[in-house]
Amino acid sequence: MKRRVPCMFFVTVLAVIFFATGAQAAEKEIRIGFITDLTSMLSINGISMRQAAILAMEEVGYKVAGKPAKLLVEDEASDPAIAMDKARRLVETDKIALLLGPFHGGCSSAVAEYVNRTRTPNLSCSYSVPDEAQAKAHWTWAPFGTNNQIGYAGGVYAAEASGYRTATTMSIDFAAGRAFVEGFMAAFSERGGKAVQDQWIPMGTKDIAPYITGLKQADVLVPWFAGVTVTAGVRQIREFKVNMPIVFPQCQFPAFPKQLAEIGDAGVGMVSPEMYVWTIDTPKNKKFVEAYQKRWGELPTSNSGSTYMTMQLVFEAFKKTGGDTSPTALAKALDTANVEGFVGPIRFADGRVGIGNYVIHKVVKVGNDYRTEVLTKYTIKTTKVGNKLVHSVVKQ
Amino acid sequence: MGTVVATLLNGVSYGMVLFLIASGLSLTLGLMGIVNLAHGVIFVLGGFVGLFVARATGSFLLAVLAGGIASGVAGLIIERGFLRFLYKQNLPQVLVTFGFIYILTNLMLWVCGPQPRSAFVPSYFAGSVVIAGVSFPFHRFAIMGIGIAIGAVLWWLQEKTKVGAIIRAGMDNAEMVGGLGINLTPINVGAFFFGSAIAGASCVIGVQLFGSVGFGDGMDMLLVAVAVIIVGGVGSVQGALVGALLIGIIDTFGRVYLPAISQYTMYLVLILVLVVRPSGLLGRRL
Repeated sequence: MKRRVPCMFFVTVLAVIFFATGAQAAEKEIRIGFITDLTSMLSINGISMRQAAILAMEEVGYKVAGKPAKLLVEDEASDPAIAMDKARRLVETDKIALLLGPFHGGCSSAVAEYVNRTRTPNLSCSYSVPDEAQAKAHWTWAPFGTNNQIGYAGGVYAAEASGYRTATTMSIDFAAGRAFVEGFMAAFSERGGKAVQDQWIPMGTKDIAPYITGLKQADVLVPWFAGVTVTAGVRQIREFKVNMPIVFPQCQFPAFPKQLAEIGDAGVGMVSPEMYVWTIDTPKNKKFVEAYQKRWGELPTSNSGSTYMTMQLVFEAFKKTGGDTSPTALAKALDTANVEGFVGPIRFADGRVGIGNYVIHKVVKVGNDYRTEVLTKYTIKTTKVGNKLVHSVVKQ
Repeated sequence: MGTVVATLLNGVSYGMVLFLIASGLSLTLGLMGIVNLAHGVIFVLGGFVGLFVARATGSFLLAVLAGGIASGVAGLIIERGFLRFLYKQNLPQVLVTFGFIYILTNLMLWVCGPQPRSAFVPSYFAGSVVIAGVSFPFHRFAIMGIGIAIGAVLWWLQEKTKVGAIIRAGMDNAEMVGGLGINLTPINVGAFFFGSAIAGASCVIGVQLFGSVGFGDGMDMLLVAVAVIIVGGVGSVQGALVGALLIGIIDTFGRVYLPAISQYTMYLVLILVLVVRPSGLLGRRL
């Protein structure tokens, strides 16, 4: 008993010192939380996002606005319940100033409600969530727009640049998939186009042949596949010799160099809108691609590019606040931020939705190498009308 | 007419892949009473190894063999290392094999990265045939042929050989077989290896139909394989074949003609069979 008393005393003293120094460190350093998928169906995206965020932090020497900064990365595993647990831990225990992610649409929607309640500045590192969810997410900034917004860019290209008048759509039945297709069809129908068929493929479907053989003929096929299912979907479409040109409302594979090589010839000729591709021919992008390759030994994906730019936006916001991490100061700084991105300036319009600068790009084969070629660029602005988000093209 | 024929062919080829996956699971469940939830991830592991070998060698046959052996060895490690201590203990079996889903999935993610692997279609299976106005990939016919051939071999092994007779006797009454002086351990070990190997080989074959395999596909395939053996009946090659074809065809027709409920058509078949014949269409009566 006598021994136990001094032991308990020392343990208590150590615990007090540990938590006190931890709290002090939390006050002094800027903590940035980041939730993305590192182990599940969207880890192909999440891992490249983490790599870009780490690169951005290394470039500034883990110092933001003159203060030491820390990046805390957590795995959402594409599960809203897990994402919520991680968000709570980051906000309530780790005392982060700002949260990046999650990535999966369901996770983002779940966390958006929590960050609204806790007034935690939250940034999406991609084209966030469907319009409907973003309209309710008052503390979430979407630098690269919404799902509908990038889909809208695809629809503008199909109707205006390609002159297509009819479309047949085929998408995985998932909130993001519906939003991408809806955005595409909104732009397409505003320009006189119409859908001859809409097919919704249940999540988890392995064999999409029944949907391919049931396709109705149109000027253009508009398919959408989630995450890792893109490879399977694209190959099956080609194997059944579908003779319609293909414009995706969004598709990651052309902007993921490893996946592009994996799909091979089946992907050649396919067109898609994107927020970033490694082939953008500007000095700024060349410098980034070189740094990314040197650090990680591979080319950046679309998610690497968007996450890297989101980090620049975060640094800019902290610079504006002078290192002040209060939610109000950060919100004001983000609302007025303007950072030069890879495709165009990153700044926000109504509903904290970014004025989206998107490239339309096409898969080409050069020798034995698969690349992507930028065809054109669109800037899509979002306006809040009542509770709805409405998209339109910004004339250059 | 063209759509009906194409849908039927799609359903049969899909059903054949389901048969290949489910036959191995049916064997281990029927003979050893082991609920192996890791069967789906063992299937994916075989696919990853097989596709690696296919690219390195250009040989489809070697790829199928390598995928089968890799999955067989993984199954053997799980059985010898863990499951042999858990016979007739369903809950611990479920927990252990469920744990292996995470272990193997993360190992594959760590070693191979998150990219799904594209199918390897050998040149002799490439091309397509126009049937009733629909261009149909030739490799789907090849999958049907391979499925029938493997089904015939499995049926012969189970019904016409001494080992098959022991396996069937072991399914009915393991204690009685032991009492006759037959050591069931090597049979059990062999069956587990063989069941896992079929799963791995079937992934290399079946991925031609799916287009690619991702490290997370195991769970989806496990669910369908379990549905197949419930419909067809546990421990029967013929049952697995009938169950797989029934689910494959009904699921495919559902997707074309009843898209609003297509996600559930497979489960409607499952419920109907459970109500009418709980032991499965060709399973041993409970």
